[in-house]
Amino acid sequence: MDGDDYWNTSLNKSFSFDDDIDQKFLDDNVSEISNVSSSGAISLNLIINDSDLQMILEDQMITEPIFPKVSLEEEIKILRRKLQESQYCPIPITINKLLLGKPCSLSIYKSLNEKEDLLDKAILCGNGDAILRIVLFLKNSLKTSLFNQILETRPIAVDHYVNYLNTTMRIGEASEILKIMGRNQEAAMIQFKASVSSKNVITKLEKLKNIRELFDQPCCNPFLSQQLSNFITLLELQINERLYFHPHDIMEKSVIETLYYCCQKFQKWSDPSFNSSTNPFKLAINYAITPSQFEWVAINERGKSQAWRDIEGLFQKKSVIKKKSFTIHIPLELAIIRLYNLRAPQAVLNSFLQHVDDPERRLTLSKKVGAINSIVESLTALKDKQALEDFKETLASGTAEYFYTEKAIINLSNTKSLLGIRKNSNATS
Amino acid sequence: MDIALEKKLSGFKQIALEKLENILLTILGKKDLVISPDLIRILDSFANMTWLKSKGFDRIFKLSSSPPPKTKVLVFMIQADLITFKYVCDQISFLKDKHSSFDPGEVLKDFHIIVIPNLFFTFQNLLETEGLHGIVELHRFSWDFIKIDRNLLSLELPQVFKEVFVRNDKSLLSSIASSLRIFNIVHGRPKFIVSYGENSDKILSMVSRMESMRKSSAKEKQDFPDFHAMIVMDRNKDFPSCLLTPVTYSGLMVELFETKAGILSIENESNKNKSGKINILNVEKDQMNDEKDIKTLRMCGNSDEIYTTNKYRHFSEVVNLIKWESKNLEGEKNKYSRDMNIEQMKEFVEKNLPKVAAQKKILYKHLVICEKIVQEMSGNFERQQNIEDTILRNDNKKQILNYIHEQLYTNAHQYNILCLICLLHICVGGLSSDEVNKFVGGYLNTFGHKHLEMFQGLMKAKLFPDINQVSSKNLIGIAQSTIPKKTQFQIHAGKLKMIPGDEIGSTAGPPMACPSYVFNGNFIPLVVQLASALLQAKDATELLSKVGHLEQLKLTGSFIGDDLEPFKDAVLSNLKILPIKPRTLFIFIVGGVTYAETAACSLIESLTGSTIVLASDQITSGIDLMKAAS
Repeated sequence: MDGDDYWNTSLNKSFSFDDDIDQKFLDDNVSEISNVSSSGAISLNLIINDSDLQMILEDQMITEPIFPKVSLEEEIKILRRKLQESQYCPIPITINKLLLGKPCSLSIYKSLNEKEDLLDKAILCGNGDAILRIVLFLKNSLKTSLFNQILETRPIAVDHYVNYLNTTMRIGEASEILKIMGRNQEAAMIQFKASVSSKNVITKLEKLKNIRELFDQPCCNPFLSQQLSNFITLLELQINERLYFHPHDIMEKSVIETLYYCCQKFQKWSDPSFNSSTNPFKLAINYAITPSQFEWVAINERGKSQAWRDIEGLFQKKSVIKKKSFTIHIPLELAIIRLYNLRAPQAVLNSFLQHVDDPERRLTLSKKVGAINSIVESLTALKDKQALEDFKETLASGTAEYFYTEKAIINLSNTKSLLGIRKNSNATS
Repeated sequence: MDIALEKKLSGFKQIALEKLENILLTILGKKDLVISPDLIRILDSFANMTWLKSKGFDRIFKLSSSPPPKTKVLVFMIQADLITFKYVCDQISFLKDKHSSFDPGEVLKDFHIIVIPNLFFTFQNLLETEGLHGIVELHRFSWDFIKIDRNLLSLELPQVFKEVFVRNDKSLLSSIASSLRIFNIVHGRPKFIVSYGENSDKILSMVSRMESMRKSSAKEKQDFPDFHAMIVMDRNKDFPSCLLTPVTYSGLMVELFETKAGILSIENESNKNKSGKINILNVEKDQMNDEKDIKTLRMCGNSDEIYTTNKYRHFSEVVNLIKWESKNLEGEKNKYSRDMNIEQMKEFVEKNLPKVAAQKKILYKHLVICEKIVQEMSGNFERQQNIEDTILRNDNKKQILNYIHEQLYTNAHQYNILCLICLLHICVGGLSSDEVNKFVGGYLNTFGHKHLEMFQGLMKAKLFPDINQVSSKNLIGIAQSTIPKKTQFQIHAGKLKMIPGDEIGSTAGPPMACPSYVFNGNFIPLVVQLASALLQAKDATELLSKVGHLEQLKLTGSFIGDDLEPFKDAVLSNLKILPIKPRTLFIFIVGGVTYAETAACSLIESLTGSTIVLASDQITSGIDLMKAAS
């Protein structure tokens, strides 16, 4: 049952009138209002007349309405009808009684034809309660082969029956019926769900191993079977390495959460091929974690651990010709914003920003994350001297950033004048 | 809507009290109530403490893992869930054994269980097998319709979607039928009842069956019903209206917070956005909502004008209007700044407006909600809207899948991501098994392999492709991606004009003139198109040209007869039924209604000068549907 904790904390606390006569059922801003509107209510008989209300109240009862006061002859008539119904009652009348939820007996339907007809009429009516009740009646009054035969052509009846078995924890029976009906996938899934719900992780692991063969059948999607194996190996890893992850409890956490803690414990970021079962790079391969998701987890974890050099190293790939190349699978912009949110130092932000090719975009992004060097570089690339001058004004004079900007302005003026000279010489020649 | 009708809609509350009283009258003596925590808020919406006390209740306990003290008659009130029922049986067995050793014979019939909304056979069966037959008396009770707002009713049976659409268990349909029958008794049976979907068909035939067995005596009501027309529709006929992100204020409220009996919980625990995320990947610190009295908001206009004015507005307008509202409250002398952000506004309202306490309290609540909505949803709002539009128009499947993948590893929200992939499946379809496997694999890696079974549930509800299929649909997939072809959904939506063309988006005019505004101009809910077709049709030709192609549409009602007839034939052989007059329409959606639909219907209501009341088993959102499948 859900919300156990909530229930436990509210043990035996009651709302008592004795403590406070005005105590409200809920917090006041709710109850206040709900009581207000009742004052404007109209009288009940404008909404519904007495006989209709009486009828609704009778229908709500799960027993037959109390015998009305009638003449002796009437009473005999009613009793005769009741007696007849107890011996034989036409199926449509029974279906109606089931719909109203009034007492009726199914055991009067003895022949196979009647039984089938009864079920079909209930399915036609669409009342699930009646369908299940009839299925359970058929289960108890027919031999298994006949029962299965009837269910085979009525999948909706199977659904109601299987749901019921499932709810009452008769997983084996539910799965068996589904298999007989050729619904092997669902049978496997029911077993899976039951295994997952075990509280003890060792039992869970054992149960999952036991249902492997259900997923390995040729009719089953091999992808699902792969996922089940992944689940099993993950649980095994978590059980075997639980001490390694101390103080974090990673039992039954997802692959990504496990990856996160693996990143946290990993010491050899410079050597991705390091041989260990908790090497995050290996984990990523084993569970087919996409490169982008791997990078995202690594950035977040390394960022929170302030290990900025590991982050930079992650994306600097040394190629054969010794030239470092930068590869990233997540959109650069997302990575930069996240690094900023993780409070990465300016140097780290700048080193990522330099890979944004379009200077306009780089400028906007640099401004967003306040990376001064990148702002200056972008403005230089855009050859916007005025903007550089303006930007310089915003900086405290004498700081490194101030001088950096100033230098950029000078450089930009030089290249500009150089270009100017070249243009002039072109013109004269 | 005239006041008499509005009051009548609240009348279900009085009937519910009569029904409950009728049960309680049979339980003699002083009694304690033990109630499922989920039911408290709903019970409170029609029966208050004073009333319960007058019916002999002394104390009220929440149903918990340990049995309540047994000093008086114990009345348990639970929802129709067999596991909860078993749980109560266990508690009763324990109490019975404990007490019988002291005073045998005394406890007989001292236990009652009221099951909501209906008592099923398996419950009675279980009671017998537990050896409690004759010791416990069983009752059933349904409160029928709870009035949530002016034009919105709810049965408050949140399990319907899961039971009916995911588990394919139809037991609750008869309870819905029974409530609709009571609706017909109170308001008269509509002359013109449209059914769309197999569950709706079943419900309506059960209603007819019940009516033919037990006839209502109010003849006049049946001749002049309060609602001339009725639509009953299955939720699965229009999933996009749940899966798309609404832009209306009330829609976003429910998108972010949980609601029950029309009361929104503004607490952190009920924040749907936070609860679905993986904590380790979050950078923001969890802000505790320390304001003690800001816990709930009643989503009803009676006492909250701010809500009434803004509930159906585009959220971007709402923020400004609420700012304006607080400026109004404050008057001129105080130093209000136009440039204040919401955070500052919050502080401002808290400190500077001591006079108008009640108004302030409500205003403050709205500011908190607005702040939360901005905080949680604004970051990605525009991109999300664009991608939803792309999905509806089947523009670029690769781009959509990339976005979904990116959301999976960056945002990592367990249910939001499912809404997107389900929307893609429904609107575009043709996902190849590689694409499906990649998504499922990524999802399981992120949120845990225990969720594998959930995809089976989504598949059963037809929200997700069949993961069991071994055969690869790659070939079809490629063919579809190279030649942009209209998908089945697009053809369907096109015929019903559910996706507004560019001409509507670009025409100048009031922004709320098209019901698609609830989804930022991207989509019009199906129920709205059905309603406006019905309300506006002058004759059969016009009506059939709009909705005649829907093969599963059926018709019944006193104009037609007791049976459900195919829509087209029935309309053609009963030409006199059109145009609909008076223009009063009641809509029931089986499996949950969204606030986007409510807002769009309210617009149609004013555009056509009609009265529309919407009802369902619960107020729902995309996340609620996803949760039901898991």
